[in-house]
Amino acid sequence: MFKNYFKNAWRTFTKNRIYSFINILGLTIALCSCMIVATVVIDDLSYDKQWSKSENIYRIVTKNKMSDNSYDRFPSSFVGLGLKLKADYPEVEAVTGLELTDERLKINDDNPNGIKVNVLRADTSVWQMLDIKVLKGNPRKYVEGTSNILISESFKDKFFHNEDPVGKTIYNVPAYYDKPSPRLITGVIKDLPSNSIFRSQVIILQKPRSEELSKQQEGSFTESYILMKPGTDMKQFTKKVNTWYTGYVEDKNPYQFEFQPLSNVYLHSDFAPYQEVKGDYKNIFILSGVALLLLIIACINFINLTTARAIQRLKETGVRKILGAGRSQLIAQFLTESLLFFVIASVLASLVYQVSLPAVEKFIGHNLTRTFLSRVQLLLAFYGAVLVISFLTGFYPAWIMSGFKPAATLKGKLFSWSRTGQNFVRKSLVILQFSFSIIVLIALIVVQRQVSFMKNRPIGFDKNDLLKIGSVSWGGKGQSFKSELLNQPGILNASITSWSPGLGAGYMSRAIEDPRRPDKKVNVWYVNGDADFAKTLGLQLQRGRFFNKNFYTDAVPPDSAYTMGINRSAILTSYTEKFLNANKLNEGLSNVNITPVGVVADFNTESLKNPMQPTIITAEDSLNQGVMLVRVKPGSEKNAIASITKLWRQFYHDKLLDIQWVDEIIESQYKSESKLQQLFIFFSSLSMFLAALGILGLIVHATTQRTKEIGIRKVLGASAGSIVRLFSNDFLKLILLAGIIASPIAWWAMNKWLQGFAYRIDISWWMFAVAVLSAVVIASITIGYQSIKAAVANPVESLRTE
Amino acid sequence: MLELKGIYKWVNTGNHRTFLLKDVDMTVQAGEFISIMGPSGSGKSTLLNVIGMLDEFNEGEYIFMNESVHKLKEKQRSSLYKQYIGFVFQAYHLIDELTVYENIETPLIYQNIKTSERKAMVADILDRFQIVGKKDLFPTQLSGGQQQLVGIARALIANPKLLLADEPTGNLNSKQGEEIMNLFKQLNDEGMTIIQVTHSEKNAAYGSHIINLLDGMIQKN
Repeated sequence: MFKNYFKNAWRTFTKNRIYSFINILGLTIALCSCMIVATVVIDDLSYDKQWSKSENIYRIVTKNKMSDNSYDRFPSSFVGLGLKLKADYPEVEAVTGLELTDERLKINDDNPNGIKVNVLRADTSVWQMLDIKVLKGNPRKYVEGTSNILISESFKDKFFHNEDPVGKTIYNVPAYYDKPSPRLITGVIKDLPSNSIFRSQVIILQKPRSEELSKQQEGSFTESYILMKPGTDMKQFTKKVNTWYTGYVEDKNPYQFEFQPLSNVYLHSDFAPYQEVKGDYKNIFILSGVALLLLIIACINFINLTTARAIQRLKETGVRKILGAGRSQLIAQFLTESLLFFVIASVLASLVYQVSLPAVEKFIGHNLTRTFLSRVQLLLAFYGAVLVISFLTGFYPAWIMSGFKPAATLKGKLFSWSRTGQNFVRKSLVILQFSFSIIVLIALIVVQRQVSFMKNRPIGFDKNDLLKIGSVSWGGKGQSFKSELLNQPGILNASITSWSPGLGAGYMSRAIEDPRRPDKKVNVWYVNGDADFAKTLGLQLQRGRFFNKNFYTDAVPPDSAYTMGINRSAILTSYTEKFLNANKLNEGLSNVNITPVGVVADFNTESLKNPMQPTIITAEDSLNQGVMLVRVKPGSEKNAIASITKLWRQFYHDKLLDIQWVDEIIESQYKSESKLQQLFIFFSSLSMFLAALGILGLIVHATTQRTKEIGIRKVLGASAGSIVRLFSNDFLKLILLAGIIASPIAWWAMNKWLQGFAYRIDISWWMFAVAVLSAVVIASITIGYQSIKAAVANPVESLRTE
Repeated sequence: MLELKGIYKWVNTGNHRTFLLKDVDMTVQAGEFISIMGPSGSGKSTLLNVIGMLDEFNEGEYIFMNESVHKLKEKQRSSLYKQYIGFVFQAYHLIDELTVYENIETPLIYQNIKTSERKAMVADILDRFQIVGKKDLFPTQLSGGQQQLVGIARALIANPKLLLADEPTGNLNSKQGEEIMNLFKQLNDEGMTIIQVTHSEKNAAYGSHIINLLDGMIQKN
C-alpha cells in the first residue's frame, strides 16, 4: 500500500516541476536554517555540561548591596574566601582559581611581540575539578620554582610538530616584568572542549595562592570555583555562608555571595563584562524565533500551493473516490506526498548544512562539538521532527483535498462556500507570511540604525587618530619614553593612564550614598592618568582648569600621602558635577574624597549600551602601570606606529608592545550587535525570499487557472495593464494588511530590545514604511513577470485550447 | 437487484426550490440492461449518481441488494458501492499520472487485495480486453476508444454486480462507439446488470429496457 502511495507521490512530484521546485527550494532553505540555528542553540546550551563533575562545580559570585533590592554582582571573589570555605565547610571538596586570559608566548623569534595565546590560569587543584586528559608527560607532578604550562594537542601540532615538547621551556613576552618569564612545559593534554568557558590553548598552572580572608573586607579578587560534595543543598549552603560571613567581617556593609552553577555561567554572565567566553540566552530566543518563522513561512508555502493545486487535482481525487478510495486512504496518499517533499528537502538541507558548517563556525568564532552530522541521535531527532512537521503541514491540504464530494468534483463543480473558505485561509496565511517577513525586516532596520547610531554618535572625545599602547609596567621610564615620543614627528600628545576606552568605566569605583536617594548606593568611577590625560583624549574644558604639574596636589607622586586624600585635585565631568552637587570648585568633597578643580564636557567611558556614570579624573605624576594613549596627527598614522615601535624597543627590549587604534576598540564594543545585524540581514533576506517564492507559486497557479478568464476579458477589450492589476491588487492588499499587523508587533519587540541600550534611537514611522514598501516592491517584481506574461498572451490561443 | 421508491431531490436557490428528481420509482432486476434517456438537464446523470450512491437524495427510499441505502451511514454506503458497483464515464476519467495497468489496478488497491492476486486479476482483464500491449502506456497516449476500453476494464476489475455508464460513447466516434456498445451487450449476455445514460436512440436499443426522463420525472409510455 505504502509503495503505491509512494509511487503516486513520485509521479505527482516529477510531473509538476515548478510546483515541486518552489516547494523543495523553500523547504530546503527553511530546514537548513533550522538545522544551523538548532546547532548553534544546542552548542550554546551544551556549555560546560561535559565535565564529569559539572553538576557540583560553582562559581563564587560576590554581591554588593546597592539598595534594598539591587545588587552589584562580580564574577570574582576574595582569594581568602574560597580557601576559608574549603577549610571550614566539609561539603566543599575543592576550590580552584580559574581565570581565562591572553598571554603572548615567544616560540620562534620572528615577532618580538610573540604570538597571542588563550590561556587558562589555574592552580593545581584544577585536577580535582576538570577532566583534563594528559597525553604526554606527568604534569600532575608540579615542578617547583617555575611556572608550569600544559599545552593542548593542537597547540603542540602547530608549534612543536615533530618534537617532544615536554621538558622544554618557553618564554612569554612580558608586559609587567622587564625580563621574559619562563614557562616549563610539563605536559601535553587533549584539547579542552570548545563548548566551555575555559576554552583555551594552554593551561598555566600555579601553586594555589594563600591569603587570609580579611575582616576589613579587603584583599585580592580572583575568579574562584568550588567543587561541592554531590547532593549538597546549595540554597542551604548559600544561606549558611552568608550568615557566617556577615558575622565574620567588621564592615557594616558586608558582601553577600552566590554560587553560580558552572553550566549556567556561559549563558548567564551579563554581569561579567570581561568574561571572554560567554553567550547570551536572549540570542537563543531570537535565533530560535527567527528560524521558526522561516520554517512556518516555508510550510505555509507548501500548504498554500498544495491547496491551490487541489482544484487541479479535483478530478483525480473524485475518480479515486469512485474507484473506492476512502477518505483516510486519500489522506494517506496526500500525506505521503508531503512526506516525500519533506524527505527530499531534508536530505538536501543536510547537504547544504554540511557545506555551510565551516562558515557557521567562522561566524560564531569557535568549533562546534555537536553537529547533526557528528551525532547520529541528533540527526535521527531531526528527521523525526521533519516527519512530525510534514504530517502537521500536510494534514490540512490532505483534509481539504480528500473532502470533496466525488459527484461534484467530476463535474468540476465546487461548492462556492468551501472555495471561499479556502481562499480565506490561503489569504490569511499569505498575510501571516508577510507579517513575519516584515517584522524581521523592521527588526533589521532598527538594529542597523541603532548600531550605526552607536558607532557614529559623538562620545565626548575624539576617538580618531588615537592610539593605545596596551597596559604595561613602565619601570620608572614611562615619562622619559613619553617625552622622547613627543619629539617624534606626527605625535601630538600622549598620556599614561590607568584607564582607556574599552577598559570599563574607570580604573576603580567607590560606592557612595546616592545624593538624590540616600537609601541607595551608587558607584562613582575614577579615571587616573598623568596631567596630560584630558588634553590627549581631547576633552572640552567647561569650567576651572586642567591639571598642572606644578601644583603638587594635581599630579601627586605615587605612594604620597595625598594619593587618596581629600585635597587631591580632580576634574569632574559635567554630569558628575551636577550629580554630586559640586557647585564650587576648589572645595573638597568628602564623599568622594577629592577636590574638584575643573569641569569637562561629558564623555562616554563605556559603550553606549551603558548610561553615563559619575566619573572623576585624577592625576598621578608617574604611574607605574597602565596604558598609554597617543594622539597622532591625522595623516601620519603609519609613521607614528613605526616610530613608536622603534622607540619602544630602545626603551623596553623584551616588553610587549600592544598597539591598538581606539576607534577600533570602540567599534568592537558593538561586536555582538553587529553580529546580530548580520544575522538579521541574512534572515530577513531569506524570509523575504521564501515569502516571495510562495506568492510566485500562487500567481503561477492563478494565471494558469484563469487563462480562460484572461482570454475572455481581453476579447471584451481589457488592456494588459488592467489584467496585471487584476492579479497584483489582490496580493498587494494582503501585503499592506500584513504591514499593518506586523508594525505594532515589531514596534513592541524592538522597543523592548532598545531598552537594553542607554543611548538609543527613536523608532520612527519611516522604518515601518521602508519595510512595507520593500515587501511591496519585492512582491510586485515577483507577481509582475508572471502576470504580464499572462496579460500579453494572445487570447485566441487560450480560448482555443479550452 | 435495486428499487427506488418516491425519490425526490432538489436544490434551494434563494426561496425557490428546483427539483432535480421528482417522485422517481424504478425497479431493476439482476441481468437487465437499462438505458436512461432524456434531454439535457432532465436529471439523467443525477439519477445515475443517486443509483451509484455518489449523490444523496432528499426524500424517498432506495433499496440496493436488500439494504436500505437511505438508512446507511456514509461509510457503509461507500463500502456497498465499492463492492457491487462499477462506473464508466463519458470523459473516461482515467488518472493521467498512472499507466493503463495502474489505472486498472487502483480499485483493487483500495480494497486491500494482495499484490500477487492483483497482478493475476489485472493480467486477466488486460488479456480479455486485448490491451496487454498497452499496459505501460499513459492515458494521454491512447485514442478515445482505447481510453474508454481501459475505463470499462477498470470498472469491471473488482467484479461488480452492477455497471453504471454515463454516456459511455459520448466522446467517441461512431465506430468506436459501436465497439463499446457491443462490449456492453456481450457483458450483459454474460449476466452483468447494466444501467446506461445515453442520448442516442441507437445505443438505447442495445438495452432491454428504456426509461425516459423529463424534468426529473419518469415518463410513462
